[in-house]
Amino acid sequence: MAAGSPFFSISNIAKSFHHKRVLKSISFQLNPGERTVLIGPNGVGKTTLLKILAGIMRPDKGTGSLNDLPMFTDDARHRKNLVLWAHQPLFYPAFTAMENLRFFLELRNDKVSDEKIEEEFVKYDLHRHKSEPVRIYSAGMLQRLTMIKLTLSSWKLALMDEPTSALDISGLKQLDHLFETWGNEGRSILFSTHDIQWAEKHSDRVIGIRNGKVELEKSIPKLDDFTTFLESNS
Amino acid sequence: MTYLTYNKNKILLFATLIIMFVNLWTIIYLAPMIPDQEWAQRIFYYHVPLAWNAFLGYFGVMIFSITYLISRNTKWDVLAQAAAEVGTIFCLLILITGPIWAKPIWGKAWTWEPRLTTTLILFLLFIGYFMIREFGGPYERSSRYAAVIGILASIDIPIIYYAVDFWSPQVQSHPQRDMGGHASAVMQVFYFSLFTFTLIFVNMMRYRSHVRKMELLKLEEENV
Amino acid sequence: MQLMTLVKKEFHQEIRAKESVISMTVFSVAVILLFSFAFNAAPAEFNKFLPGLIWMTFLFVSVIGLLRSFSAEKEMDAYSALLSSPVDRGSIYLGKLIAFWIFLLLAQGLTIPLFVLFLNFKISGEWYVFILLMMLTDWAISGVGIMISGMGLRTRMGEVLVPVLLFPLLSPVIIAATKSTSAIAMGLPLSKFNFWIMILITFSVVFSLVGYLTFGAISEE
Repeated sequence: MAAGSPFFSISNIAKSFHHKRVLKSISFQLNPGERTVLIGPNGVGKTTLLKILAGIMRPDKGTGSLNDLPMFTDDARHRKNLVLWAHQPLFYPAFTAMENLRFFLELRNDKVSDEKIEEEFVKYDLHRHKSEPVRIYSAGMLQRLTMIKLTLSSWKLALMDEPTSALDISGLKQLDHLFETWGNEGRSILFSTHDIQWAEKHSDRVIGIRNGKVELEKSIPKLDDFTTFLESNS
Repeated sequence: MTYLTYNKNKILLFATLIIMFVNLWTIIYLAPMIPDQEWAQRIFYYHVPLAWNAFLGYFGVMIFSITYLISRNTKWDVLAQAAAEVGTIFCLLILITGPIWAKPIWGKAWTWEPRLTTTLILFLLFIGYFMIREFGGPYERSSRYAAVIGILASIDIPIIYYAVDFWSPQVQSHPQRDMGGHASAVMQVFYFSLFTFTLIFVNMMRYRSHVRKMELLKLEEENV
Repeated sequence: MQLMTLVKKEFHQEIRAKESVISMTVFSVAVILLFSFAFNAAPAEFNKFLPGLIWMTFLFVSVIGLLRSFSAEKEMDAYSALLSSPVDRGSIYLGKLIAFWIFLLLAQGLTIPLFVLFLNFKISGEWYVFILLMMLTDWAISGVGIMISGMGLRTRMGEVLVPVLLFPLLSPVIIAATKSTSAIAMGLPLSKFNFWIMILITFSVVFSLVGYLTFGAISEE
C-alpha cells in the first residue's frame, strides 16, 4: 500500500431511486483491522450503501478505492478484497454446502484444501449435512455456512448487512468469536445493526447516517453515542 | 413554467406553423402531376419526410442511449426517451401512409415491401422499449435497460432491412428509389417538405424533453 | 479460469435441477405432436413450410429455457454473491451464454429426429452443414436471449417482456435460419445461401459483443 493513501475510502457517494435521493453525499475512510458499525434510522439507505460497496449497485456519483484499486468502475479486481453478508443466504439452493463453497472459493481464486473445509464443517457442526442441497437447510444452518464461507475466503473487508438480526444465542457467540479473530488478523468489518448493545461491544468506530449524509463519526463509541444519535432529530 | 413561456419556443412554433401551411400549399398547387399516379403520388411528400423523421428519432435514440450508459447523466436519458417517443409516432404514421398509397397503386394495402416491413418490426420493438421503461423497476434501472434495448434496436435496423430485402426480392420496391430521375419541380417541393418536417421534429423533441424535465424537477422537489 | 468455473456451474446446476434441457425438449415434443395432428393430411408441398415451422418451434423453445436461465440466481439471491465476487460482468454474460447455447443445442438435437420421423423433414444436402447452421443460429438466439432474460430477472412482467422484446429483435435471425434450412434441405451449395450465413455471423458477433460490454448495466440492481 502506498504511504499515506487510506486502505479504504469513498467520497461523495450519491444514489437515487425514482429520483428520490436516498444517499446524497457519503464519504468516509476505514483503517485495516477496524470494526465499524453503520447506524441510522430505518430506510436511511444502509443496505443501499452496503450493496453499492459490494458492487451489486453502482452509485449515481462518487468515487472509491479499496487497497489502492478503484471501485465503482468496470474493474473487478478490488472485489477480491471484499466479502458480503446479506439478508439473503446467497447460495445456490440446488447445490450442496460443499459445492457452494467450492464454487465461490474457486470464483475468488482462493485455494483451500479439502481438509481445511472439512475442519470448518466439523467446527460449525455441519459435517453431517455437507452433502445435502442447501435448499433444505434451516436458517441457522445457512448462517453457519455463511460463516464458513467467510472464514475460508481471503479478504480484507467484510460488508455485513445486519449480521445479528436472525442469529440465536449460539450463533451470536460464534459471530462474537469471528469478529474477535478477524479484528486480530487485521481484517476490517463494516456492518450495520439495530442491536446497539451488541454494536457497542463489537465496534471500534461508529458511522451514523441521516438525510443521506454521514452525521456522526466517532472512534470507540459508547452506548450514549448511539442513543443520542438515533433519538435526536435534525 | 410552460413550454411557451420561452420566446424562443414561441417563435419556433409560430414559424413552423406558417411553413407547414406553405408546405401544404406547394404540395397541392406547385407539385406537378406524375402521369401514372395522379393524386396518389402526393402522399409521398408526406410519407418520405415522415420516414426521415422516424430515422432522426431512432438515430437519436442510439446516440443518446450510448451517451447515457457511459455518463449515467439523466439529461441524456430524457433526450433518448423523447427521441424514442417522437420516432415511434412517425413510425406509426409511416405504417398508415404507406398502405394509403399502396392501395390505389398496387391494388392491395399491405405488401412485404422491405422498408415498410422493417418499419413494422421497429414499431413492435419500440413497443417493447416503452414496456421496459414502464415495468423495469426504479426509474434509474428502467432507463438503463431502455438504453440497452435502444442500442440493440438501432443496431438491428440495418440487419432487419437487409434480411427482409433479400427475403422477398419479388415484391415491388418503393418508387422513391428512382425519385432522383424526377423533374426538378418535384424535387424542390420534396426538399421543402423534408425541411418542414425536420422543423416539426425539432419542435416535438424540444417540447417532449421540456415536459419530461419539468416532471423530473417536480419529482425531485417533492422528495427533498 | 473464471469463465470455465462459471460455465461448469451452469452445467452442474442443470444436472441437479434439470430445468432447461428437459423442459425445452418436452415442450418441443408437444409442439411437434400438435403440428403432426394439425398437418396430418398435408400435401407434399408441406415440406416447403417445414423449415419455418422448425425455427418457430426452436424460437418458442428458447423462450422457455431463457425464462429459467436465471432462476437459480434468484431463489437465495446467489446473484448478489456472483456480482460481488471478483468477476467482471462480461464473463458472467459469456458463462450464461455458452451454457445456454449448449442446452439449446442439446434440446434441438433431441427433437430434430422427431421432425424427421413425424413430419418427414428431409435433408438432401449434408447433415453436418445443418448442424453448423444450428450452432450459428443458436449462438445468435442465446446472445440476445441472455441479455433480455437478464433484464427480465429484475423486471415486473418478465415472462411477457422476454418474448415481446426477443421476437422482433430476432426476426432477421429467424428469416436467415429458415432460408438457409430450406437451401440445405434442397441440397443447394453454400453459394446459394451465403448471404444468410453472413447475416447470422454479423448478428452473432455484433450482439454478443454488445452483450459483453453492456452486461454491467443489465446485471446491476
